[in-house]
Amino acid sequence: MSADHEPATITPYPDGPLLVRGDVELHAADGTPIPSHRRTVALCRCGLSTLKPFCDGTHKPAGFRTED
Amino acid sequence: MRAAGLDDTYGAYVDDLPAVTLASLNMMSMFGLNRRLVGSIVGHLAAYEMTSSIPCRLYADGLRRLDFPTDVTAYFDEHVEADAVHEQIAARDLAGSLAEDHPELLPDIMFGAASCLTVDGWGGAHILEAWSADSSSLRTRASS
Repeated sequence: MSADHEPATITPYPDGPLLVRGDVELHAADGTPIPSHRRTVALCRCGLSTLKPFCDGTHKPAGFRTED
Repeated sequence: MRAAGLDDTYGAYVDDLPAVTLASLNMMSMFGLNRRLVGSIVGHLAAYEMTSSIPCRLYADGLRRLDFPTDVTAYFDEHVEADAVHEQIAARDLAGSLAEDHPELLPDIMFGAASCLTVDGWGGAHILEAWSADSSSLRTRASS
């Protein structure tokens, strides 16, 4: 078993994005791969990022709140 | 720095910088180099990462507006997405976990975060005041 292969995890951070850790491929709605070159990515949850699907921190000035 | 026409030699511009700018960096070094201030450096890092993404996007957009090449804008573009991740890790995982494991460090964590925002705010205010008065924020240029 390869030591560097761990199952991917997705963690919703309170008042913030989803953090995706591990080996995942992101695809656009048409199936095109979305390039990502980092091991942990933050995916927008407030809908206001200018870099969607990635988070750009806009949730803070927007006052985005989650239920936790 | 080279792509922006600046000298990338270590410390090349240190004599140009006003005390208020050096204070920000010295404070961060002081927190980082002293074990007794571990809560403060963690709070400082969290506040720094939490306030980095959006300014980096503004820097990158401003540099694009002024026709700087991709070599210059890439650094700031990279930190929009990267620091959106670091924000969560530094604030929740690092500072949050430290506060839960060592509640006695909570005041130090908050002190470090407040110090970051306050002292960096002084530096930012100095730069904006100089620019508003149509002068340089750098000490060696302001007097010329």
